[in-house]
Amino acid sequence: MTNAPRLTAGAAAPDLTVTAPDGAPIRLSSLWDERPLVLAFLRHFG
Amino acid sequence: MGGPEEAREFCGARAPGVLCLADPERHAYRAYGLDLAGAAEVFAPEVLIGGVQAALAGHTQGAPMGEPRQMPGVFVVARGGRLLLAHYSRTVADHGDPAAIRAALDRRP
Repeated sequence: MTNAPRLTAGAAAPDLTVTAPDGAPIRLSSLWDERPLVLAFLRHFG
Repeated sequence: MGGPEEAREFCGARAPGVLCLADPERHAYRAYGLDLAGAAEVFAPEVLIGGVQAALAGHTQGAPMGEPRQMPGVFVVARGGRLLLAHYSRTVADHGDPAAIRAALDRRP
């Protein structure tokens, strides 16, 4: 799978489904519907 | 990236109260334009210096779980889904400027 191009401020944030801590699917847009969201991608959990 | 169990453990120990999500297949990671690091991003002087400084301050890093070449990134998304900030890390030790993240949150879209 090729990566999408880099995003810039003003662009639409990609809306995908990721996994909540309880294993349930969660749509990213459900998190920014009510308030701003800080989405941090970490290197690893070590 | 790790699975929901790793996310739960990590946040439970290091960021209680923060919602940690898992993206084990890296679909979101790739959709946000993030990529794996090369040698320059992993072995940059600031990474090595930061590691030594952290160790001297008593902070240690456990064994990496998942892909150690995964580059970090931070995005601030406004209500409705427009990006207020898109930070792509220059090295694996670059986690974005907290002041810039705060300023993006304070901005009205």
